[in-house]
Amino acid sequence: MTLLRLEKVNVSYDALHVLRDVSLEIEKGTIVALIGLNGAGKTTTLKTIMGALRPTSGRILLEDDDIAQLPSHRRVEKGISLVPEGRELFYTLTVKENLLLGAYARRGDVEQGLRRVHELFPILKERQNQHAGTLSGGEQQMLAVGRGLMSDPKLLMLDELSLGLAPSVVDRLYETVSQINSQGVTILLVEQHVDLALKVADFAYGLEMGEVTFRRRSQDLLKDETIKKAYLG
Amino acid sequence: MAYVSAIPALFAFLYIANISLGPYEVFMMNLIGVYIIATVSLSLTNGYAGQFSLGHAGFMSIGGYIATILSFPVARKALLLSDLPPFLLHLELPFLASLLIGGAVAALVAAGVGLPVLRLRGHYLAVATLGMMVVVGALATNLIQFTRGPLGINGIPPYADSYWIYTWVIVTIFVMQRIVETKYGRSLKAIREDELAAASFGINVTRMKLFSFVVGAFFAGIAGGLFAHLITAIVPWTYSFVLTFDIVTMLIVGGMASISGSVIGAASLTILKQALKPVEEGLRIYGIVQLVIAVILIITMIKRPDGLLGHRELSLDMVMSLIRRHRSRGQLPISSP
Amino acid sequence: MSITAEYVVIQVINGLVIGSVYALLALGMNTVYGMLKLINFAHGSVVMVGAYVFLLAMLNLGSVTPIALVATLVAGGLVGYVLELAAYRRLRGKPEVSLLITSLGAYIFIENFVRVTLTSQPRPFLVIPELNILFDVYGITIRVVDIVVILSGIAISAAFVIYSKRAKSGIAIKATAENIRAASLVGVNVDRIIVLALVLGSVIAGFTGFVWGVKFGQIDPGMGFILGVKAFVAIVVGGIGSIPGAVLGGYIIGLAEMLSVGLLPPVYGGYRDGIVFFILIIALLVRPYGILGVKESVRV
Repeated sequence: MTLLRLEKVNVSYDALHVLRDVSLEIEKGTIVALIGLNGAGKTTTLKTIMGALRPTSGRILLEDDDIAQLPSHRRVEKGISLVPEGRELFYTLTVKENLLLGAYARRGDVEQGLRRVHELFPILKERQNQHAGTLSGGEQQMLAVGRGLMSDPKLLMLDELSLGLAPSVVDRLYETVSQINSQGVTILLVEQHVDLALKVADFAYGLEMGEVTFRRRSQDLLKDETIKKAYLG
Repeated sequence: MAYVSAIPALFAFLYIANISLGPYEVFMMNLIGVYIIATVSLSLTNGYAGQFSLGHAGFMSIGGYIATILSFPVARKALLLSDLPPFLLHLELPFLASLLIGGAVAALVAAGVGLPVLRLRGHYLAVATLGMMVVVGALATNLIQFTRGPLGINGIPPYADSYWIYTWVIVTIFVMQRIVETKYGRSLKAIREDELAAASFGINVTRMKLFSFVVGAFFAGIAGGLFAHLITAIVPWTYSFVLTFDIVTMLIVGGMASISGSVIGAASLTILKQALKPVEEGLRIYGIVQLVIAVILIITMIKRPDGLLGHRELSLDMVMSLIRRHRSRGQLPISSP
Repeated sequence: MSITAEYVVIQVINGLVIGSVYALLALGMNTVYGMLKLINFAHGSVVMVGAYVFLLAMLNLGSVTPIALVATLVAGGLVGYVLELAAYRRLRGKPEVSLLITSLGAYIFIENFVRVTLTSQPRPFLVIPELNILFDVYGITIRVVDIVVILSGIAISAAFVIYSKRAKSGIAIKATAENIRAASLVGVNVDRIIVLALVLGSVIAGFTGFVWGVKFGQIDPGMGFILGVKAFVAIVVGGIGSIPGAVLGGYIIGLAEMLSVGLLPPVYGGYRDGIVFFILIIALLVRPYGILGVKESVRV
């Protein structure tokens, strides 16, 4: 069953045409990766799904509901959540306040949401009264993901989770991402480190200069030599 | 400079205007000239360099007061300004010298204030320059031995006639063009667009910003001096925030980075202001003029923030294509091409 | 005038009174500034509107203070609401300078609107007898109004701080003021929160208009400008992006202003505004993000 579908979405930044006729399909319960070089339009795609950018044409369907003209906060209510590149935490607020804010548009029980996040990231419970700015990089990323989960999303989008983090921290983070997925959350992620992305994702879309170039199962991609050379060096 | 040929024509026009028009019309013409100088000089810092200064009235005040004190006839100084220190009490300089010194002092103040303040971002710069204007106003009100404080100085010799004013208009525009059309102007525009990028091109950002600020202040000082000798009186609140606001509106309406835009903005708004004044006087309701100006500014910011000309200059091509469009459409175009 | 201990205490009290006004104004301006990077110059004019509305209400709705106060608060909120909808909302996403210029235009508009519809002349404010009772504390004469102003300043500030920590909308305001993008990502209806912040700030500003009138006995349409600017100085000094910082900054500026006016020879009395700007320059050069502030780029 398709959770999210993009149909021929076009997006422009000022005069720059950054997404061209982008069409995607995300099946419920899967983990999908967007891979491509810098500037290909991956973050733009996530932002468009989230509502920070509006398409000039095309449809964005969440379970057959066209959300392309909805403002961001309404999309959160409908079950989409974005963990942005660079985390964008509220650094002057505490860990707990950040999480509570994540539940601002929550469709369910806030306490339950907190429990779930604390289970996945016990350190967040430990540090719940600390200001977000005092956490380490890895902890901040966990908080960002936790905050994204607080709205009980159907679709969780992750933009460059690994940015600035040590490999061991990143590995554990992605393990948790798999865990979250097994709890029923569909995941769409953008990740510079293609090997990481392909390890955790079921499917991958390739994006080049704002256009979708392929959709393949990640296990097939990992076996494909040309792709390996192009993206994995 | 293509317009050199127009200068004799301008002066001929001024001469004819002076002998055929009534005193009020001539005054209007002269007032427009002063506002042109003020607006064009503001466009250098605010428009081309992108440094939003709100202190222009402060520089005009400095220029106005200094030029007045220097040019005031010694005979009357003893009566009106008897508390001046002796060297000023017996000094009476020719008009040009007074103006130049007024402008120079304004420029010096700009240099001093600019150094710390120009490193600040957008609104911090705006508030800091606003503060400078407030301080200048406070000095004007409180240094009574120099300025007569709130009483102000009246009976200033009316040296500022059309020829003086428009000569300075030409000088100001000339200097502006010389700056804007050379590498200095390009540096300023680069700074406006992206300071870091400009610095990486080797542009000395601080020096250029200071340069535009100081030059702008100099001509503001000149405008202030001319203004004082035009209305023949000066009080501290002549040069208040309202004045800065009016000039900013003229700049925005005309086009922030356009010399011809500034001219058009200054001229049209001055005429509008003077036209509305009788309404205010007649109804005894003060504030109508400013209300209208404020509305014009807000609407311009929302609908057409680039003003009439934006970054372009009025050219023959522009006028010709406007006329062509008018002819082919059979109706007046609402916006310029 | 000899500087006695009593004199200093009186100046301190005056400083706290004025500081309360600045603190309340700074509160309102700070949240809006954080969200929109906009110095709402028009904020000062709301103070003036509040004062005049109170006066009008007292004169026309029967001299019932509570009713007049309600009218004042409503008027204040209304001005903020209209400002956002008519002007600021249409400039969302435009460069900072555009917002700055527009808020200046809004200030001039509001000041002259009052001039045109009401009066251009300064007006004596109503004397509310209860507030003018003098009393003696260790030989220092204080008026009730001083205590009322200082207390309401502290009370409203404290209430606002608590509101921004406990109430859902309050936390949303705080979060939006810190990072408007992140706020919209977590589902905050940013447009609505901005309106809320502006209206709240304007309501408080309207109240300070009443307070100002009672304390200083006279109001005029131009009184708002310098207040708005000083409130911004208070934010810079106390800390951009910090709600307690704004309050702290307000009191510091108020005290600095009154103490310098009181302690310097009278000939410098006319420079009280200049002194505030002097403090601004020092603050911007030495500690641009303020005492309690969050680091943001003040310098280029």
